[in-house]
Amino acid sequence: MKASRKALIFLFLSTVTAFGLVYLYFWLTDGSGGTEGITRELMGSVIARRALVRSLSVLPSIAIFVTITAFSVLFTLAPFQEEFSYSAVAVPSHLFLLLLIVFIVLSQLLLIPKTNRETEWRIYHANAEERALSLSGRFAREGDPRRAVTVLDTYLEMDRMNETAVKKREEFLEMLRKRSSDFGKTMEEETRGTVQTEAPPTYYERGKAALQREEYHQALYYLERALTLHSDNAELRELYARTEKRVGLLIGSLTENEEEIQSLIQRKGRALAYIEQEDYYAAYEILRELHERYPGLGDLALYLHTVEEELKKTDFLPSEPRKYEWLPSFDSIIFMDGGGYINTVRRLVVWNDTYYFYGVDRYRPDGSKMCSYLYGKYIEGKILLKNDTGFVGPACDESVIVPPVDPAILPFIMDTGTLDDRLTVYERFSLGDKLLSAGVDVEDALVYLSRQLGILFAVYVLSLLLGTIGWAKRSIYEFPPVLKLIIFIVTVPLLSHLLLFLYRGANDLLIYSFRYVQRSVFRNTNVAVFTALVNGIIALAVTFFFLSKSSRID
Amino acid sequence: MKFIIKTTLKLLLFFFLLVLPIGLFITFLALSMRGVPLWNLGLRNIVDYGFNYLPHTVVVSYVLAALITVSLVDRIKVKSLFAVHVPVIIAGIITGAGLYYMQEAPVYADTELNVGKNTFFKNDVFSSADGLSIMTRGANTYHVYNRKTNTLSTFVSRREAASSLKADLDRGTFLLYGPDGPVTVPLPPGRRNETLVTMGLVVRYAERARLVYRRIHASSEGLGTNEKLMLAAALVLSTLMILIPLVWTLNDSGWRCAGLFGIFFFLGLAPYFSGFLITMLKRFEPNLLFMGAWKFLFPAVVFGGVGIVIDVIAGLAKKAGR
Repeated sequence: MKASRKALIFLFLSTVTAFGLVYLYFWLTDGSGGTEGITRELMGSVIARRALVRSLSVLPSIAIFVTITAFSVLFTLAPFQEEFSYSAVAVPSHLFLLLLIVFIVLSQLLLIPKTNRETEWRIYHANAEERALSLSGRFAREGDPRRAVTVLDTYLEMDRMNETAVKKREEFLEMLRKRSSDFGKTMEEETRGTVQTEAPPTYYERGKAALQREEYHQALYYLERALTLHSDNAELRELYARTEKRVGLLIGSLTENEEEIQSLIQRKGRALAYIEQEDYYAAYEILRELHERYPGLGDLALYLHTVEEELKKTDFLPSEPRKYEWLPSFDSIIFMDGGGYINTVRRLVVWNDTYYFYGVDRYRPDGSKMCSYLYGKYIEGKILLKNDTGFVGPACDESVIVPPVDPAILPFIMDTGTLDDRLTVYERFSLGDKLLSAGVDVEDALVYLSRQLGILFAVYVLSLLLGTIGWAKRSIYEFPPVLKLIIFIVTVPLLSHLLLFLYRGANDLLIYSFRYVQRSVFRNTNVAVFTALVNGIIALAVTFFFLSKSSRID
Repeated sequence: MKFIIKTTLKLLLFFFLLVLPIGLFITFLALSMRGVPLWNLGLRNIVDYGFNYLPHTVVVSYVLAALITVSLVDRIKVKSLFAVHVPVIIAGIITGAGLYYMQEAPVYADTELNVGKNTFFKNDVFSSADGLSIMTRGANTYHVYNRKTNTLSTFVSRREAASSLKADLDRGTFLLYGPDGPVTVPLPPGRRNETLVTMGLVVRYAERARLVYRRIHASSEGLGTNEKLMLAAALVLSTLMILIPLVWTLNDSGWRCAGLFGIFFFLGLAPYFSGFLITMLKRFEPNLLFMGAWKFLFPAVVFGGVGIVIDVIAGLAKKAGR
């Protein structure tokens, strides 16, 4: 029991020490490549994550090294000079190895891909911050503080607590106030005028509040909305009638032409009917024209705003992607969609979980160009495309792309190596076929699983095999000779790493040979089962070899 | 005598156990360094190409087998360092003779790789190379997406693209024939998942070893076939003369693993040490007239000399230790 406890402590401390040293090495030697322009604080976080990922990638080699060291050196040191049975060290070592393998499984299949993706997004957001600050500074220097504030407002939508950005915004706002003091309202005052600080909860109350402010068109809008909900409310009907009369007088003051007034009322009525039918494109067309003609009519502006908000759920205005055009982007992406069309994207900007596309070209399967669009936005599972047009109507097939995968994956598909490191095991199985149909060179999920099994079996087999050989040839000294120990410490980590690669390479050969074996013997099985079977037999043999040893010194 | 025969047989056993994995490893390394992906190369193609590297495989397997055998010799029973050299030399003569005669046999031939479009491309997926993404469709349609200009071009290659794949393998490019004439396109590199040969340390080591090999090859230009073979054999044996005493010294009866691990330590240093010696020899250009017609063996003589010095030091150190 004493020997077992000591063995476990030695193994645990060795693993933690080796992992810590490796982590420190990667942390110190990170060249910070690709992190230019990001803040020192975030750089620290990115480097720490990268070091963690690299250390976890090397964890299999660490496991092998620790086992070899334990059986060659550690279990021969002074604390183990008292008599003990081999099983007192073998059993806890075996269990510890299995636990370590479970942790390796979790890190390879889940932790590493997730951390890589998270790091990528952090760097992207940091680049966005850097660009927001530098661009706003440039606008301010060029004498355009309004644009500078707009840029920072966009950035702060995502990161409200960013102190640097908030401070800079205040500076530019102050600049704008000084400049605008002779010329009217500042941006803040403009927005303050139209936004209620505390909106009353119901349409009826909002209507009454607007009446008190003598904003009759607004009151009309709110009371009309209230009436659709409570058409039997006598008080409401009376208030609406009075307001309508008042507004009629106001319209009358806009034009003396009775026909024009009637036309205005009729067209507004049609627009409201379209809103009731949820035909928002038709309502938008009427309301936009009316609002351009009669900008003073507040109710039209409010109805237009309501319709626009409804349309934005399934459509977008070009002004929206233009607002985010300055943000960093993922460039030059190509993929196929469900219809077999090839789509190229010049830039993809991701902001606040929304995806904007710029410069999208679509090609038919034969390579001939079909159409080009300036902008695109990912809405409800589709990429909607348009040029410089507003809400013109439901999109045609040509201007809608159904992407094969979530756009969050699109930035990584251009480089197989990048994608490999960023897909979890779940995504491999759920998205593998979809990615292949998108033209992405992704490995078959079962082959991926076979390779991962190769890593796990490599750790198990090599640890036990080399540990057993080390035990059989172990040092008889109380402490090994210094020179040999130094050579051991220099050589064995590299050797563990090399042998791990060789075993994984042999596993790759096994996967490769499956295509030939399948023709004769393993017809109804898949490559993962075949790999697990062969590796399992080897693991079993090595386990027997490991357990067959004794504490007797040869 | 019994020890010599037993150790020689053990060495030959290790040699035969190692020759297949080492052969595969060297072949895959050679293919990978040539930019040929392995996932769609047929087994026959690999085996045929592997025979080009038969001498390399035999030499590496022999050296490794010799060192493993020396490191596992029980030093309690065998005390003489000289005695350990004898089985190594005998096994070397046997394997060398075998290799010499195999050159005459039909199995050893200078075969070229048989590659085609499917070696480098999977149909209907984009493969990246040098800022381009290339997709093949069917037998002869290629979509080439230029990431810099965000343009997609489509080529329907009427001529046999496979022949251009073979011809430009070393340059890593191939020709596509479109309506506006031929276009040179880079071949996509091998997939990342060929872990056997993508470990950075292994590739760097292989490149270093190849550099040393090329230097020796360059220095042996003008020699006849027999003289080249003699030089190769002499160099291999003289390298072992250096490595054996080093591994023997680490083969400690108290901690025999040190010998095994030490093999990789010294093998790791070998190309750098050999490269250094060859550079020094070239720099100082000694007068080799005294060697007459055998002056081409001078590098091997130097290596062997260094080995003898290490033998003597190892022997003296052991006596001092007693």
